[in-house]
Amino acid sequence: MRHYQLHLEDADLISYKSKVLFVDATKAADVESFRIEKMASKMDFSFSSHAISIPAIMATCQQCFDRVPQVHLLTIRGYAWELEQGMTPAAQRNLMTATEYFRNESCASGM
Amino acid sequence: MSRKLVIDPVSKIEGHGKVIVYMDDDNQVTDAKLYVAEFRGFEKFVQGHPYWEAPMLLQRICGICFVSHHLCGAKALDDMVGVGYSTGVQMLPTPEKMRRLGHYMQQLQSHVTAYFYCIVPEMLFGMDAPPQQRNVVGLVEADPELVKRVVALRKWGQEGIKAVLGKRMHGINSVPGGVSQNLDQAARDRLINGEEGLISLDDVIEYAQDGLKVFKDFHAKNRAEVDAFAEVPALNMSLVNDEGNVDYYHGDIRIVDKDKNIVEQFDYHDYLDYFSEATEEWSYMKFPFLKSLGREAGSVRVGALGRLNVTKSYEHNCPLANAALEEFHDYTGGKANDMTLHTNWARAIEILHSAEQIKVLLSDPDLQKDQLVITPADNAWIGEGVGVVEAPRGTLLHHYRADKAGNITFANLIVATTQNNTVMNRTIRSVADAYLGGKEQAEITEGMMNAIEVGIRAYDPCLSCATHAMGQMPLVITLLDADGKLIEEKIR
Amino acid sequence: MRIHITLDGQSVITREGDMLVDVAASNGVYIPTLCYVRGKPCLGTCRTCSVRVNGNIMAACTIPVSDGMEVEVNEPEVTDMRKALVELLFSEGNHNCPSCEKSGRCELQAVGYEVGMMVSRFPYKFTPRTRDYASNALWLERDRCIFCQRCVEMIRDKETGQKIFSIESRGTQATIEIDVELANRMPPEQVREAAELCPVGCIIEKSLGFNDPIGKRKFEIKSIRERALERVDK
Ligand code: SF4
Ligand code: SF4
Repeated sequence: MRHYQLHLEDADLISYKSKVLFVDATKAADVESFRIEKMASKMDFSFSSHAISIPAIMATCQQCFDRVPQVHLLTIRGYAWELEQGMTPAAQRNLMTATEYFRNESCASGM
Repeated sequence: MSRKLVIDPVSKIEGHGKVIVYMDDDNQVTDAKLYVAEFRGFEKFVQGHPYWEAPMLLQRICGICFVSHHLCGAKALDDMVGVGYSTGVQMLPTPEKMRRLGHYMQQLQSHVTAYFYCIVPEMLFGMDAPPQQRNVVGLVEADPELVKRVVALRKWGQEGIKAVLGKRMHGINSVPGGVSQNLDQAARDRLINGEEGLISLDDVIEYAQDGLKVFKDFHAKNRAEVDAFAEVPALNMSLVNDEGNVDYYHGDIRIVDKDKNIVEQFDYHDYLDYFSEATEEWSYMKFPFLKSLGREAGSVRVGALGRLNVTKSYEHNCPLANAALEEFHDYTGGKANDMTLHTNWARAIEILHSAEQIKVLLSDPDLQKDQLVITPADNAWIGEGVGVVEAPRGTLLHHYRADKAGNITFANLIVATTQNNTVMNRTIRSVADAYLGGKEQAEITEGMMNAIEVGIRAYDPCLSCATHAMGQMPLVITLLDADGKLIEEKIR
Repeated sequence: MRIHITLDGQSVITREGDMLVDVAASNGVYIPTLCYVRGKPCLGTCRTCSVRVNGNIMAACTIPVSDGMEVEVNEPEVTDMRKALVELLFSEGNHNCPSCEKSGRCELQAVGYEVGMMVSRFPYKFTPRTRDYASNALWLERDRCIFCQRCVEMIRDKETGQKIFSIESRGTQATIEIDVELANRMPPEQVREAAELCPVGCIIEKSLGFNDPIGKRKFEIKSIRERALERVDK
């Protein structure tokens, strides 16, 4: 499933799953290459104009469908955001490291 | 000495709308202007492309009412190739019904989004509630059952659009003279009966009734405020069928006045004979008006409220929507309804009307038939075409010309927001007047900003996506005096 | 003659002289192609089928197999090279798939998906290219031409055998041209054939398009990979 932004409907989508991994790029300088974190549901109202946060999606899922899957967020550090460009080599490396890590991890933990 | 109050969303800060309110020395509001920096590049992009690509390219103008643009373009193409309404050819039943079905699906989807995402929270929490609450996310805690229904409705709408147009967004089903596919039985049954994770059509109709009830409850409790909020006069315009009732896909353009008397009625191909467009140096968006009445008196209101003012009744097979419409009409006792916030009432009724029309269409066996396209005769080529449909936000027009080879040489689009330009300005003026008129000190309050936002949003204008922002519309307000001197500025 | 070659480390028995691209396909290894049409003389223009043969990069549609050949297809560096070639084609022309009638039936688009392309790593050139709609039945949407030369070699005047399409100028100036007089003599089947043959949406039939509904277009019914792999007689 690929989106340009999260929608409220995604609460419905994830309500059918037991495990969900969100993947997103980040500019956060404290993420060196990538980061995996477990997400908790929280109605944080942290929407910018169009988008809704993952915790809010989870909270919506909980409120409306009485269940919430196990959710992880994989953030990958990116460096350049202009149109017309592919990924920077550094971001490409980060993506590869993350994929690699995630592959091993998911085999090991059954995540 | 008069003064000028500026609320700036578009020009200074990207994604902001900008409003200027003019005031005189007695602190009376004399005028209001909504500044629009709308980019109309699409009319240029499409030039030089083969004409049959136009409805595919131009529908990308909008991520919400793309089906309307697609169909409007398709109707213009029908004309161009010589099998359109301009030549008196009637579309075959299956393609016409497929197109209509797609259009109702989108109308449902678009209205549901505008109504439940922005307007219902505004009604439930009040327009001065904190912005983080005043949106659909705020609803999650207050009324999860309602949110669940909104989500289910939108999902059903998406599936419906996908079934007709192949994709949830920017799909394709119209080709010159018809459509590329019908609706097979399995797809039809799925939409009617639902399945796991998809509600049934009867649920859709039920939820639509609930939506209407939200408005009515709100209205019952806040009658005075709702009715008094920006009551602005305007003519009302809609496409109508032979009975003079709204037809979202095809018909004549009818315009009625405050007593619902017909001011003009004409074939939409003659639009340019009846309308002129005024331009203002402060706005990229033009101001269309009826030539016969002039700039001020000849401005029209389009969209849900305009349509309900024009139409007398719905098709007999839409009993629920008809009952709702009757109640709506009774409220103003035969006069046109000029109350801006009643647009939301009208929208809720149209959600129900769309749902009932979808039910009628889905049970029509014509949708499964195979005659999909009328092929034009060799010498039928006309090379020029006009399409008009009632998009969710109002009357939409596409006009194309192509040379003999089929190369587009000219394109003009008049979107609903443009039609509503003058009446939107009137609305803002009315709101500003309510907050500032005759007060000791002209001050831009948060309440006034919220009210202006609500006034603009009633039209759900397609100025930029800023106006679809959930919770709070980005605004900049500047207060200037008549000499253009700054008194106060507020940005949010 | 039966021979042995190695295909991505697997030993394969095949017939000497068969084209490498076909041999690979018969053995379940897909090599993307754009200019190549099976059964027609090879053009070798697009290089999308580049693989490593005995250590050298070669276009698999131009290479007859010979005994002991060592072929690497899905090796990361070669795979990325093929992807780069496809990306180049996108940045060289002007491709706007959403409003292109070939979308869903386009070989370039389908190969783009197969090589996992998301965006071109090369800057888009936005080369201005004019359209040609002088002939009666065909339209050249030159923005989309990839200069594969299929049309040049394979579509000829029925009577004289003369070429109808040609490529004028070279390099960045190159344009696909159509001989209007000859084009206007093309029977309807040949018009259709030319439009079908063009791997992209450059040669298109006038006043026709978007006839296949989304979801039922050529490569949505069966992917280009599946088509390439099944077309081969074993
Ligand atoms: S020719 Fe193919 S790649 Fe180019 S725009 Fe059309 S569909 Fe896309
Ligand atoms: S027109 Fe089509 S077939 Fe001819 S060279 Fe260009 S891409 Fe190839």
